[in-house]
Amino acid sequence: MILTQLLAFALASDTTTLAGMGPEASASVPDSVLEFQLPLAGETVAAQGTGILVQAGASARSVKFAWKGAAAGSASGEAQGYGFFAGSTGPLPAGDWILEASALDSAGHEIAHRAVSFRAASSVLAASNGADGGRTRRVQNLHLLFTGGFRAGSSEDPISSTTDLVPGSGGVAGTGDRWEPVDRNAFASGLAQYDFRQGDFRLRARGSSNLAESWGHGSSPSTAGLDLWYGPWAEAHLGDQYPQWTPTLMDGSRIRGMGMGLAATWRGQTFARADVAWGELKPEVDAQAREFVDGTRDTLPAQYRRSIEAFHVAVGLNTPLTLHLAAIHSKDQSNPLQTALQDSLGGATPEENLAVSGDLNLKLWNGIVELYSGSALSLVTEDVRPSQELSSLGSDNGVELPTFLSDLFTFNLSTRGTERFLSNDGDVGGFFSDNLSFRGGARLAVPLGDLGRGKIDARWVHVGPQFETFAKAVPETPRTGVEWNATAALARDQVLVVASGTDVDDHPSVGADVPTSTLNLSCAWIPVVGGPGAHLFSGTLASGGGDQPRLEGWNAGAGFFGNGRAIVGTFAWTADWTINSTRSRSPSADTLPEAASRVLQNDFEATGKWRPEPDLEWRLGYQLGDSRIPLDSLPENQVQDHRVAAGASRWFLRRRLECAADAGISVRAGEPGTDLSGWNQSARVRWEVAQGQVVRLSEIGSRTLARHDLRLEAGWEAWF
Amino acid sequence: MIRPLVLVVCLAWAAIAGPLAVVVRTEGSVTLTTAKGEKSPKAGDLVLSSWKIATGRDGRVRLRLLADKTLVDLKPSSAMELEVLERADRTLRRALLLSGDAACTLSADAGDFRAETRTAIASGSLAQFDISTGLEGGTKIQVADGTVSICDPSTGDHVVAGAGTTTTSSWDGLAQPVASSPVGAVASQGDSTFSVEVRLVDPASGSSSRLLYGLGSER
Repeated sequence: MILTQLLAFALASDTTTLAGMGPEASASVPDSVLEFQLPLAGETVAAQGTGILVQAGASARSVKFAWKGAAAGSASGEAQGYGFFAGSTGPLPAGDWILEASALDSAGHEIAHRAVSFRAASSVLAASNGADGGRTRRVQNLHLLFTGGFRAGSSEDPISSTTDLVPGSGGVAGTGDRWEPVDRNAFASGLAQYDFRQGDFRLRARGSSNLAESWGHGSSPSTAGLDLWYGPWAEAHLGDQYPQWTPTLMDGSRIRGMGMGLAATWRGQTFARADVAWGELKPEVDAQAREFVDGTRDTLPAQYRRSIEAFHVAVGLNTPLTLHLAAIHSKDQSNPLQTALQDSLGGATPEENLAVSGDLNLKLWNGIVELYSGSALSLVTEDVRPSQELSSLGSDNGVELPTFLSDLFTFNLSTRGTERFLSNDGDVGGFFSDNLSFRGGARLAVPLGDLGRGKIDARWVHVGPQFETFAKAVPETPRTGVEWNATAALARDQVLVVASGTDVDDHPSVGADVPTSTLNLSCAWIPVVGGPGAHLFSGTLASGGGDQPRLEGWNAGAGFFGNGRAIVGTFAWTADWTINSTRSRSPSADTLPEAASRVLQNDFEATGKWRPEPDLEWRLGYQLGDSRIPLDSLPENQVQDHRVAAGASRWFLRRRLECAADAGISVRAGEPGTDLSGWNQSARVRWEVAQGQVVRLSEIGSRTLARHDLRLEAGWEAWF
Repeated sequence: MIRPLVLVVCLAWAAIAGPLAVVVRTEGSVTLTTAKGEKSPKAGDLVLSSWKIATGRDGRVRLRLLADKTLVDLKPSSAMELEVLERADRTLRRALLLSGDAACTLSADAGDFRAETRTAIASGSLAQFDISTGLEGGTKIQVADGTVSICDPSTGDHVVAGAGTTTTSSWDGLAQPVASSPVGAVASQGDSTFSVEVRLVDPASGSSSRLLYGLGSER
């Protein structure tokens, strides 16, 4: 392992150059030099005082320190060896200070004298690197990436042509542009990013496009954006941005538009901030008629342009008590002509979403205990067409809509949960429960002393079946119950133990509760330096029951890994084995044999990498997937997949040029009548043609399920 | 033929003694293991090559490298060894993270500095990044500013990671940088977290994917 790291050191060092003074030079500075290492000129230190470290010339036998500011003090330097002398100021009143150092020779004569100014503050939280950390230096970076190629054989895109459908006269669909996907046989993508920094000002301009994607009904494959920052206090974004202000409401979905943020700092750190963003969540896409390569045709409804406005404010950042508030409003933009065509194609109706959230986090006892909660309430109207607007939720229960709400949001019969209000008893609690997301719990850092560290996290979670926020691309699973996990890292992280579990009711639909519980355990041994390591894991899942479908599953596995010296060179290896069992039962299938719904699967994988010399690597791997239905002794119900792969890499020109080739073959046994064997091979070249410029060439060929494919690709990547 | 060559390479990389860094400040429990034994360091203390510094559950320490003023902040429950390595044509300084998390602020002259774990080597200049160890020796590097060159010690593969990206490296190799999630970034800046990676392999296609179970907080 040590050998491997040493060799890798040599490899990595090829990419950078040596700069600056080597540490060995510290011991041989001229007599006239007296250099402060702590504090540095202009540095801010804590009011508790600062250590002092200076480096003096070879003739210096002692160093005296004296400091002046709101008070004065002095100390004698303690020799540290290598020409270094250390001291300490002790507590200092806040303010500006001057520290003087005098180096004396063996006769007591002063041979060097230097002074440095620094500042004492009541608290030092901001990172400082010298006087200004080099921030006044102008820094520019440019990253470029271009890739393109050709594909022969089976196309990855089954669509041969697409024709836009547009509203025609009399409500009949007319045809618009017809186009063919360009990526069936050719593909290209590019990325450019420019960063500029000077002082507190930072700028980033970025853009990318991926012509390898067919842009059907989704987000544009091209992105562009401009970001500006001024210190921690202000930022602005133009173009594509991906805000993640609160995990309950926003998971980083792309907003194409504008955004701004303002922050306030306290003691050098951000204490509060406010952000706003507005723009487009989804672009408008016309309805389409598609023709596939096999001659079949279909139509695809249009996609409405979906706008969004989002707001976020946070207070107490970097303090024990933090509060986040956020709100989003998102609405599909439609017109009657579009809607008529959309209805004729059975497309989605124009929707609207309003959601607010609040997150609270409280850390106690220096972070040992952390209490947290996150809650959000959403309203979704599934059809915003004006004729269905409501001004009241029914006179029987007396719930009148506030006038400001009707200006803000379209409330009508399609608003989720409205039926709760319109029922005779006015189920207000049910309405909130269905549209609410809440998560509250505690984390405890378990003191384990010298043994290591541990953490326990337990929370109660409720996600209503009708809760939805358009600003999350991946919705949360509706559920109610308890979730927990516990982790311990022992012996300097050489032993890790992780356990987690859930006991919740899933809500696949309004009013439905499916009990689900899981339990997972894992343990790993990771040696600090080399040597074999191992990990074990196991888990269970149980869901449903009674009059609902029942699903039970468990898995267990073990793995080993290691590396070290071989007879010649070094060798790294891994071996993992996993067994999975899944059993499902439907209430209506009680008369069928239970075994018919049970599946057992074994997975095994082993890999090895041998480096007989630093610039040559041989790879070998084997995978086995075994799937079968027990208690049914018919041999054809057992399927085995075998895959063997091998490859090699060779480096040239001090590792600036890499040539690699890999090949693999897969065979399926136990399923007669179908040719499921396949193979793949690839070759690639990576050449660092100049400092920060890389050229890549690759060829990939494969055969899977009687499909042949050949792909040639070339790329260039550069950093300036 | 090969083994003598390897031996020569090893000897050429022999560590040398000498001052490497200064302790700028400490909090909580911090232990410095020197050639003569253990001690609790204080601000102003020198850290020599091959010394190990470790933090307790409530401990933090900031080190500043003497040669170029690069900062290394060692977070709670972490351990690091600093080393100067002399090569024929250059002198390299290595901060080997044995466990836990560290934040590095590289100066303009940090070209000969490496932040290392068992599965990754990070280097650059005028950059800021967090480096943390995980299960099975995996390493996560989150770049906050500038660009960082990241190398897989076992294969020699390397990538350049820009600001706002996260790169992971494990025994299985080096992954391409991906955009950092603010959730993850916050978690890495807080108390030490640890996670479990489970690899899922489709035997038919040979493709693999990873599931990451972590204790990182939702915020």
